[in-house]
Amino acid sequence: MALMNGVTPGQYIPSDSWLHKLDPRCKILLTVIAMAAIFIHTSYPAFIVWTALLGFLIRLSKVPALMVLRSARPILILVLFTSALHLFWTPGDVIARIGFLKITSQGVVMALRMALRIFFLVLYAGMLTLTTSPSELSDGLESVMSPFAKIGLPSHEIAMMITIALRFIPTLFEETDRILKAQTSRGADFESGGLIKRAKAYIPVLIPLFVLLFQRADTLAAAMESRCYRGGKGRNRMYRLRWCANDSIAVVTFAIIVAVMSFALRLS
Amino acid sequence: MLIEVKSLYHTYDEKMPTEWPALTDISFTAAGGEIVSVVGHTGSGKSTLAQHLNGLIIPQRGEVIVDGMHVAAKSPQLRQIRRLVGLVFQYPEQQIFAETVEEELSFAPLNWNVSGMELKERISWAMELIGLEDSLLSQNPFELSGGQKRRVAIASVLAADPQILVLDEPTAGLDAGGSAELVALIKKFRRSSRCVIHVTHDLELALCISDRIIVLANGRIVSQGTPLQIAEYLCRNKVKGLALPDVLSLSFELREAGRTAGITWEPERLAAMIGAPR
Amino acid sequence: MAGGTSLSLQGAEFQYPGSPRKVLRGVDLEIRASEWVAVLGSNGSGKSTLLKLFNALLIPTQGICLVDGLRADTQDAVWDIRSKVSLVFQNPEDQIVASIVEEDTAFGPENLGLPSEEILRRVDAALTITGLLDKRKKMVSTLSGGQKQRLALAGALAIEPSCLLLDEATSMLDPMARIEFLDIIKRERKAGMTIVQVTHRLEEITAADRVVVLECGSLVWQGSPCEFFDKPDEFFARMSFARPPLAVLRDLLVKSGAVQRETPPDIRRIREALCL
Repeated sequence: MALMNGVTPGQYIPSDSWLHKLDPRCKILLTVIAMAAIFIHTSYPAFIVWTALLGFLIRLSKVPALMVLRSARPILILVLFTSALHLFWTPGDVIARIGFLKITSQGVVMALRMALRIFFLVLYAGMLTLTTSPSELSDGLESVMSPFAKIGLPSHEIAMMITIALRFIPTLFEETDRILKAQTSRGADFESGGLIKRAKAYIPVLIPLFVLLFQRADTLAAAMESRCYRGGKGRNRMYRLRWCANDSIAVVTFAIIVAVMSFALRLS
Repeated sequence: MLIEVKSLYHTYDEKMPTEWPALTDISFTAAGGEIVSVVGHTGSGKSTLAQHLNGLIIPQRGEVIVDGMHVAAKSPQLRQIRRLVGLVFQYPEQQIFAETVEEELSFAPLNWNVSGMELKERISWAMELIGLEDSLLSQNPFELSGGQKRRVAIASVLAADPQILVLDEPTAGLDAGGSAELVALIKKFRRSSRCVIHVTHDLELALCISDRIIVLANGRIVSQGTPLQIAEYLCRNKVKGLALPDVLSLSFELREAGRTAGITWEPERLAAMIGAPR
Repeated sequence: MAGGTSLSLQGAEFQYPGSPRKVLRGVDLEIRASEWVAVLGSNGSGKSTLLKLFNALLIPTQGICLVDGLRADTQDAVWDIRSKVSLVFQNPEDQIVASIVEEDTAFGPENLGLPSEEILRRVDAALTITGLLDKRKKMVSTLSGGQKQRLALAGALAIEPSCLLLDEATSMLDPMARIEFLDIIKRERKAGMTIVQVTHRLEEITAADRVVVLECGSLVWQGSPCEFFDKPDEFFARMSFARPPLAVLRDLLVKSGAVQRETPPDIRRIREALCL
């Protein structure tokens, strides 16, 4: 029985929602626009707009809000780290002290802003991966990158690598789990001891994993060749991407919202 | 009793939409000197059960008692239990990481604070039990053949000197010679009043080597008993995922037709029962 | 699918680059169209290497390999050969490329550059044959081991080959999954597919037309499954083969005269012979 602790954060959840049915290139474009806008606008009114927009997208996608929020789990540590940096190292009006560390009011504001910005970036990216199947995603990326193939960007190869990497994520989880359990059964201790000791404890997990992955790469390459793979030339797709009216509407609408918002925020 | 399992239940992802009951009301015992096989289809809960026996999984409901010690979270005895129960996973050669066979075999004993003379003795004993030459100790385990790698992996568990050996599909992917060697190992191991729990979907193998068999289906025990009792049960009841060995199936049909007196999975005994044509 | 592919090895030898050891030595083997040939041998006998010559994954270092008359030992015909001859490996995890069932099955036809409707048709057909049609939109990670191997088989069948090479394709499967897998192979064979099956499970060779035995890279014996099981114990011991219990039973029954000599070690035939 394939066991994973729940679903991988951000993993594709199939559905027939309006958002799911959009062309992946459209969604990639929307995500890029959104992420650029989030980067630029970090004021409080902006965050309210981002939250409202995210809520609207979540409703549109029919994906449970909990699943969307979960996609931010992997970056929790990163957020804590950057928030801490801003909290303790921003100069300004000191409001508290912890040992030799100073917390300023500007620090609190910066930390909050940074944290929210990162969260929104990840959550919007999460909306992309939750509503777009791995192969749609890689097809979309390949298509978006293909104009650059003329200047030497290996767009097909990159897309193929993404497809394969995504496909192996669940398998990797399972195999790491299995090796961890095997070494634990042999008395390995991953819990106690200092940082260095604990890091060393992972060597008997990493080595077998790498050996497994290298062997797999060999056999997978042979299997792909056996299935007549010879790179991107001459390949066709079962489902061709088709840009339709909904996609244009989505991009235009989104661009207008962002433009209006930028204008409004500039004014205030 | 070396192992006692009492009313064990286990559900994965409790209280979540992906909730799945892996084990329901499992109870059985295993004594020293016994080979107990747990037989069932893929997904019947065999591996989940195996992982309870060395404390990798803590019982959610019910008890697992190893040599008088309860498997419980944060118990100081958990490490002791893990030392007593040697769990060998499927395709164990995938856990090999060391540069020499000796280093690989030393891993478990060193983790249990065994060193020096005693360590060397344990390694020798494990190599002997598994049927490998001591000259292999200095070799790189990654350069050995598939069959040898598997034996090294099993030896690395034996080197910890477990009283109970739990094997999850030990013959998976092995050819006839490799399987035979593994069976020999199992029989040698239990001689010193140690116990073997053999988890498998190979019913034929289980019938041939076990003292007792436990049949799992969908997380429940559908039958347990001696090989003959289980053979009788399986001839009369279809159990999910288990195919009757050909010889047993034939012997059952012959007995039902009144041509022979009993059932068996051994071809020599069946041939003797059929006898010469009149 | 029209008639199966015919395969031929003439004096084929193989050595890995830089290695002095000959994995295959002077192998002569003719496989007719639509024949089912089982290849047996202990580990290191060269059986996997032999298989890989037939789909041009490996090129013989000496000798000739022909696939339907095309030379497999030159680069020109490689892709033509691979669209006729499909190879299924042992571990499904090493073969599946996409995250969603139907997308993985489509990989082969997509590589052939076929029109989208044709790709869809082949994917439908392959998934139907392997009983996975209702799972076509599911994530591969939700499949059981047996289903994954059937998916790998679907991927091979989607190329619409006329020859299937099986490299210990059932050795990681549980008994039920093994039976399901072999049933599909038997049906393909009936439709005319050439089958070359490397296995170490002797129970699986009873469906084959011919058995070929390799030892240390040389072809040491070939014959029918019945003739194979009639070989003496020393032969079996030397090759590290174990007679399946049913074969042992059949031998004993033949000796005692309870069944005729012609009865193969197949359960249906033995049942008939015992008048059950």
